[in-house]
Amino acid sequence: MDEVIVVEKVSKVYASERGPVHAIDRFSMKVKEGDFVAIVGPSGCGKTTLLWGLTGLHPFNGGKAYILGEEVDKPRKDVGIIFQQANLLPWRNILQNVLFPIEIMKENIADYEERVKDLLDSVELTGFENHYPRELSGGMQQRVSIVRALSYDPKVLLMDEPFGALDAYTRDEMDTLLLGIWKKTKKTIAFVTHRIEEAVYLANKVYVMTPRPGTNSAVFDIDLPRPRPEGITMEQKYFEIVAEIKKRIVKDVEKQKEEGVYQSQAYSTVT
Amino acid sequence: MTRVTSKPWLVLIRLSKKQRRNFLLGALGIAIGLGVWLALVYFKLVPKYALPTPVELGKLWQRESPRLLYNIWLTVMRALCGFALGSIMALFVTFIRSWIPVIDTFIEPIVQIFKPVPPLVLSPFMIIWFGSNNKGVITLAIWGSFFLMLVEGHEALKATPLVYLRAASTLGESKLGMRLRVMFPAAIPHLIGAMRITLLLGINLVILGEFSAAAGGIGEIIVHGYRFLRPDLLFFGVLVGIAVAVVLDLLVRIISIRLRRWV
Repeated sequence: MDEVIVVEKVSKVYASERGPVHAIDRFSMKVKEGDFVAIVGPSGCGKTTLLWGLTGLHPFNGGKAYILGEEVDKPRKDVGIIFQQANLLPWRNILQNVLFPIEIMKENIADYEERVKDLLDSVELTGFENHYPRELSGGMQQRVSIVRALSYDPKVLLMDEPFGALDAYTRDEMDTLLLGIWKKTKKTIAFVTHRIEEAVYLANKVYVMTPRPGTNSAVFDIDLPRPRPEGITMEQKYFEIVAEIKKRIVKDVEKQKEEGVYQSQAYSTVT
Repeated sequence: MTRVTSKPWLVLIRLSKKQRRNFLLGALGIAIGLGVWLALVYFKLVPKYALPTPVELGKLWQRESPRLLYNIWLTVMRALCGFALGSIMALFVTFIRSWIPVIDTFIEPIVQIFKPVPPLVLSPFMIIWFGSNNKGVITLAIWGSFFLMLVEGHEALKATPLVYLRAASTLGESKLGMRLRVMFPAAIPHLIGAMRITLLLGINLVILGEFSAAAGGIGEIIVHGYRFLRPDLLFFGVLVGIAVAVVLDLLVRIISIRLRRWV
């Protein structure tokens, strides 16, 4: 199994009060096993819609999406999802929160306790098992939600702007932490973000989406060393790649404006 | 924020400085109330049949305590039965409503019609239909508790934050699990608030039902005091009615500290 995520010309049209909204239009993408791919694009371009389609909860209208060779039509045990909000359940303590997926999947909790304790340790949350989410900072909560997504050892991680709600400093810390986890666990990651700097720092490959309806604009192979030193974000080569991707997005927007089809009013369609 | 201890009743003893001050202020309020009472009866500011003296109350207790205690027990038992049965039925119906949309659509107009009816106006019916006994009074309390809890429970479940539902659904949570592991736990703070109001309504309805039922209870003590111009009975009934409401409400609060420690 080489290609873990295969997206073939998927489209998504939402019905809205103002008529149909074309969120994604024939977008394609391939992610190899163990690869780290980022998807960027202007707000409202359908990045989140793409990820939701891959969860199996909001199916695409057209095209096909496969995870590990199977067509996606329902939530899968081999996929972990991390959202912008940590979405922890406030009435469960941290340990109960990270074991929540195990309960849902009706697995034996005792078999996983050791594993989640190791994971909590790897995100520096040992000692917080009995705390409630409200007692933790935003960054800590997001670390818990990463552990929750990893608890059942999925092969694939789908991440939707996971650090978008955090302050700039914590966000950078989390990016580095995520790279560490990726290196250790060798998961296949699809990471949606609107921050190109973040995408370039993290990913092997960056897919650029056009403004709505989101379709393939370009793919950039990020030719930066692994493991990535934190200082890489100060280097010329890094800036050049970021600038190139930014130019691409600006060009896409301008092209749509010339054609008069650009919808600057980006509103959320996934609920 | 409520301090969390493994022994919730300790919150009553372990008080901070501010809490102690508040407690003293509260006690002062009660003391002033007592003072006004004593002044009214001993300076003869009100007629003798309007208010009893503390001595008269003491004598009443000496003479009739077994009968009084039995009547208090009747009211407490009826209120708790009505509250418990009404709430459990309402939560069960809430669960069914959330499960089957057709039933929700079917129930909604019925709730809309019966919810605004003050349960008290139904008390004559309850007594005619179910008898001037436990059954009649408890049914009245069940009726009131049921509709109040039904509306509150429905609202509470509907208010489940979308993000919790989303987190669970992406993990493949089942319909039953979504209710047991997400929707009902998320509703706990709302439901506890609703339970407190419902319990007070239950006590209210039981005492008011006892006014007309002649089946014993605090309500009957009060009615006796009123009919036979016995200020000691009347006053005792009112005081005990208040005490029962306060104590039961406090009990619910203490029991719920553990349930809502995550809030």
